[in-house]
Amino acid sequence: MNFQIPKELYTGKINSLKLGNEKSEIIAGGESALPFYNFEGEIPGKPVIAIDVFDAKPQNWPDYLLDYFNDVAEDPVLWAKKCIEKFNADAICFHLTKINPDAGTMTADEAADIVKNVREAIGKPLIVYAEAPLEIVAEVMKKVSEKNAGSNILLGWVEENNYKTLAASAIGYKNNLIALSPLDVNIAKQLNILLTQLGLPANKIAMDPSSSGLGYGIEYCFSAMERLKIAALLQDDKMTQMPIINNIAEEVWKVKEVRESEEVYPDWGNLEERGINWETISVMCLLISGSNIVTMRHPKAVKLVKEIISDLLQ
Amino acid sequence: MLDKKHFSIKFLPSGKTIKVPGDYNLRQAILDCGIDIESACDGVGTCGRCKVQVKSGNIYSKKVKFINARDRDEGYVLSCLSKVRGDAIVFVPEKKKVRAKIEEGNSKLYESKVYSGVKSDEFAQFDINPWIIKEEIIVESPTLNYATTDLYRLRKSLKTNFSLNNVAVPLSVLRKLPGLLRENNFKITATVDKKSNSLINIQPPGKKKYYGFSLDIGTTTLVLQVVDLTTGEIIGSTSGYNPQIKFGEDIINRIIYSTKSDGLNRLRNSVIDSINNMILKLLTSTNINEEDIVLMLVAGNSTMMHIFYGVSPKFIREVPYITVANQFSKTDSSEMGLKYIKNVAIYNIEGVASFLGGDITSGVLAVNMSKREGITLFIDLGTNGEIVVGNFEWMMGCSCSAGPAFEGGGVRCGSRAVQGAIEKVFIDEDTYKCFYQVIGDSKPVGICGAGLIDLMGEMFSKGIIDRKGKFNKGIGNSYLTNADGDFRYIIAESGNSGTGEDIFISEIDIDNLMRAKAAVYSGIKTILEDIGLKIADIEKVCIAGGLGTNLNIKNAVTIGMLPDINTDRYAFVGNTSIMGAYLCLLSENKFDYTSEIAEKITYIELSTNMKFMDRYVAGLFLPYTDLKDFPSVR
Repeated sequence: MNFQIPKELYTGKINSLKLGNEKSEIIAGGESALPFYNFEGEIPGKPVIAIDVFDAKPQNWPDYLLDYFNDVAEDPVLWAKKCIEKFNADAICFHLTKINPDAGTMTADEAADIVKNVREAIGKPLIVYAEAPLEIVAEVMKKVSEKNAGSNILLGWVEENNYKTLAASAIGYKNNLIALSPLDVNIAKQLNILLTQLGLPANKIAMDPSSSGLGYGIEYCFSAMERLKIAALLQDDKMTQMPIINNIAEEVWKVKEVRESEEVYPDWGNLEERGINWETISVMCLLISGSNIVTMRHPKAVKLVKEIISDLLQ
Repeated sequence: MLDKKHFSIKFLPSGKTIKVPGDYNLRQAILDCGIDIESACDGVGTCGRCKVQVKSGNIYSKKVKFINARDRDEGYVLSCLSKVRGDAIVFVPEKKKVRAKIEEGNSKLYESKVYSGVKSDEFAQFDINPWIIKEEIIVESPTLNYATTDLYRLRKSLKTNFSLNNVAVPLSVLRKLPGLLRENNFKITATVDKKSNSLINIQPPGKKKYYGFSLDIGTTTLVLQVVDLTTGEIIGSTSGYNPQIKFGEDIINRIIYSTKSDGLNRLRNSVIDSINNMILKLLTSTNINEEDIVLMLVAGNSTMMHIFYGVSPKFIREVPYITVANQFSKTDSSEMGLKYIKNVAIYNIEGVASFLGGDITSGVLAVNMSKREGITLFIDLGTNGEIVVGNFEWMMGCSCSAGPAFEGGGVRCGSRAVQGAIEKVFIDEDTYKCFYQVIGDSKPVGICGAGLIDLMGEMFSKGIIDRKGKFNKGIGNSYLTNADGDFRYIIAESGNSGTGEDIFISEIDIDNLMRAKAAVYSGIKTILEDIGLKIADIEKVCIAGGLGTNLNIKNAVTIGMLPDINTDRYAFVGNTSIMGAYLCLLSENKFDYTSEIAEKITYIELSTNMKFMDRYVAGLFLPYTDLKDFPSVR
């Protein structure tokens, strides 16, 4: 008698989140098995790797990372195109920082125009993070959503205490929303319930259960995400079936392990290799615990992660 | 410090004045003056209740959200966040005394429930078999041929009458003995304590009635009853707030206070003072002679017992959370500082663990669950929510900190279930107007636990609040007001209330209630699942507590506080702690049996239970994050 590998039966399925439209469209989620368990169920697409692009040249990136983007860092459209064409990004994660009065003078209208320009130039899905005080974010998200109506951009982010202020524009202009929760399965679920009750279709939500880099509490993210996926797939809990997004690049690239030189820590070895490895391992940890969309920065880490994904899904 | 400048603060309307050094905390100055001021957070600036008005002088105060611009202009500050920087006159507003006003009311409704409860079939029946006996005895007279000591002959008589050997006789009795024997021709009335094998008192002959006190020391509420030990009749009872509230509203804050310098003494003295006043009030209103009181039986949670007996409760809140003792030694009234009664033996009911005290053992006795075959779920909704589940073979218990919300604490218009408290509400679907029923025939001055639960259920089912417990602001609710970003739903307008101010509920109040109900439900769910029971296995759910006799079980289910099962399996049983103390007061068997109950209950610690925390967060949602638990709630 041949040995049969026992298979888990899944009753639930992760929602298919449509990112971008027509030519640029890709689907995040849609799987009916735990991450990379394609021998147990359907995993229709690969996780989405979104490369970070900013509206201004980053001030605090390590040189070895910024070197890849120095030629385009002043122009978000060129930067985004380079990430797609040269570094093989599946999507762009565009961060609006100059809308914050502490950092710049960009108006909501200008922000909406830049988003539109980037989106039209890349022909790939766009994730947009607006980083500013709540009143400004509310105005920016409204304008961005309005000028990019129906283009299925993924807008970040709303939380439990501000979703009522922020969610309406995304709902009105048919865009997608990122729902951020603080490493807590119940709160993630509650926010999804509140958003759907407000009128946002469940398949327009990506949830961010919060991320942290390797060595900085990633095991908590792992556990929260694992529990969300188990509830979604094994218990068919509709309010946990949203694809997961992790804004992990932000977390990886601020830790000392990717910034301190070999001279300071001789035991830690070559700085750039270390940075690439740190980002790759952080991202892979989140992918195997259930992430559907991740943000990344280092082109070599992106390449490495894509190879590992292909190997795992063979 | 000699050169430190002192300032003089005068408090209105009392006119009390105190001198304090510069930067002295204003709330502390008020407390030092002996003026009661409300506080749910023990002076850390999170409850917004210790508002006072600075009439003149230099008081430095932080800006806080609890005080709107208009009040700020009029000099209102939060006293706990204020420092004295010069001489000043400060008004402690009248409305801070809402509670005192309520207390003076008649709480008959609440008390009658206790007595009628004991008679009902659902509860343990009372039997009269006290261990303190008062009887007339004849002591032999001495002769030249029988020249034995008075003590010898007294003991001999005690042996004949009570079958007690070598009874301990205190010096106070010996001092009275020779005179009393000879004045009364060697016939006297003796009061003996069979349990401690001691003589409590001797009196001139004539068998009189004798009485006992049953006392429940709750974190928020005190209840005292005087009971005829020969018939079991409750002659009188009284209740009031535990005065320790001013040092912190929950157990943890009390324990923290007890570790401050002289903190334990202050806590103890305040509760002893209140008990003394209650004793005096009962003795006066019932015309019972203090000499005829022979026994006091006390039930309370472990922390309250530690403080009552003057034992530090410090280690209850430190890992591994242990008590000094779950039952304290027998003592007497003079040792305890109870000044209006003499020679009264004081016993207390044994507790189970740090957070499962004698009040719960007492409740388990009262609801008779340890004698039944069917499984009972017993929930005591006090400041701590305690849960015991089991039957005659086994019992398990746990405790979850619910906070004082169900007893009216932590909610700005909250009150105990006494006259003037709103206990039932109905909200009109179209106008959002709130209709209410008040305990006693009076204008509303506050809203009690049962009223709050009803209100939450009504607000949720009528769409005034969303599943997170936040106000839905876009529904055209004209009873929703905005006091500087602090949204309030008006239950009774100032013109209709007994305080002259609006009775309302704010989002902060709702948050406190959400936490309370989440803790209770999470506790119930966790203990049942740990045992491997389904809610369907429970034959009877007994809800105890002083939150009001009119608890609307359906709305308690609607807000996700109690499990979603047929409401006819629920029984609201009132204050079972005092019921159990009453039963024990009358019966040695029952008192001994409470220790057996305490031994039998297995305690489950929830504070380290991950699932409890997980369900608690899931419970911060109406009715619950997972709707499968509440099929009947739409």
